Amino acid sequence: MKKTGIALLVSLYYLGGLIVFSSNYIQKDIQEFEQLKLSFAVDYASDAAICELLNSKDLSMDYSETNYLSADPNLALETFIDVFSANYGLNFDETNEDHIKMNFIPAFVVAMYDGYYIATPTLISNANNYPENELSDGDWDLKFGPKLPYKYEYNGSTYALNMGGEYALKLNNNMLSKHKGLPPGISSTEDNLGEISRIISSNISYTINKLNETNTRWANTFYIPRDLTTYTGVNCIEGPSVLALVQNVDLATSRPISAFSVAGSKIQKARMVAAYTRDGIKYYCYADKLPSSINAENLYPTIKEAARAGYYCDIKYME
Amino acid sequence: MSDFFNRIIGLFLVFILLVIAPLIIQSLSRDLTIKRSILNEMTNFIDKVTDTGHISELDKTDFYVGCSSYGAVVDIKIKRYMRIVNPDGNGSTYCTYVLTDKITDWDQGDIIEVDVQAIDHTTAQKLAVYFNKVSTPKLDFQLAGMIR
Repeated sequence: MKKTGIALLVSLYYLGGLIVFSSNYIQKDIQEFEQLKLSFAVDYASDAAICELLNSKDLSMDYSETNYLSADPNLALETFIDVFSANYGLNFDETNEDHIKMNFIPAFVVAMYDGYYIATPTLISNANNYPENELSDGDWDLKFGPKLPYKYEYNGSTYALNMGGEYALKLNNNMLSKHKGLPPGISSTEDNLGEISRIISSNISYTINKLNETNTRWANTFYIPRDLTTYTGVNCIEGPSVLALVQNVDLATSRPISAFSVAGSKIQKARMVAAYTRDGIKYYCYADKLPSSINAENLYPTIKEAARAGYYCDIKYME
Repeated sequence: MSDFFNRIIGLFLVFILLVIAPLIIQSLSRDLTIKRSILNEMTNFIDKVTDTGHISELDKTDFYVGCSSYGAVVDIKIKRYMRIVNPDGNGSTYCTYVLTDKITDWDQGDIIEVDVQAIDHTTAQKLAVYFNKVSTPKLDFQLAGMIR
């Protein structure tokens, strides 16, 4: 009698455990899945943002500075929000746009060749002229500030870095000069890009802290994506990029979730393909490998296009 | 007499723990795989469309079959939001999107939204409702990308 009672009690415990386990598992499952979906959504949105940035009419590119381009960061932000809305089946209207801007995006960065733009929630008009109350009054919007330089300090001099690394602007005792090559303390192009990544991430932290200075509910904690720190040895910024930080998304889960994405672009110099006739046969090879004794008949941007035009690969010079 | 009742309850519990519990656990993990697999199909499809800007009948069939092959019966909608840019009257422009039915050829800047909805609850969801009274919504999620 007693033994049956104990067995029954143990079984009841197990049953209770099973119920708790499965409810917990379902919650975890939803959370994990939504986290994955959010990361896809943010990736797609930032990809679209960088594409839109690169598709804009005037990128001001030239041959003297590799990686240089300039574009309007607002284009990137608008596209990001449109694609993000579509990922959650939201309409493209102002209410949803404002909701996403003000509640989910604490910082949105567009990193360009020689500086970066950072968008943070900004008070754009006060409800009362005085006293100002930033907490609840007025209209807020996610606005880009002025373009900020990649400021790097070494031995009392201030340098403005850029992604190319061929030169840096140096400010010393109110004298602005052009410093050839990388500034002292930075030994390689990787270090240069790592420093740029560090400058951006520390500014993101600073801006978020500053933004929440007057927020009494601010717990001084926020999520810094692992990708943004240089400790892992992997640098996320290789060229003009869009960095999107999305936090506290509660569109599909009871507990808010966060994600981060970097979409980058890389500007490459085209390696032209020269087409010519040698020994009566039509050949192509890379223009830089073509000996000076042979005259090129045509130039093509890719080997595929040269082949399509009826030229054959010249193994002699392509090797 | 109470011993008899205890045995009956015991038998019932043994049945639940040895038969129902593994069934619930197994179907829960299967559910997880189904959702992730469908999400993968969706990302593959969106990647393909955003790169090529074209959907053929074969692509669509391939995608529908792919999504339905994991065990959940789903209804799929492919939405095309065509990008429209118009003058705003102040010398600038504004951008808006129009939902259209023509989904064969896409233009740069169009947004593709793939909507997957399950027609019925999955086994795990049914079991969870039946035994645990935990009700979760049917599978319903979207993913979207922009044509490059």
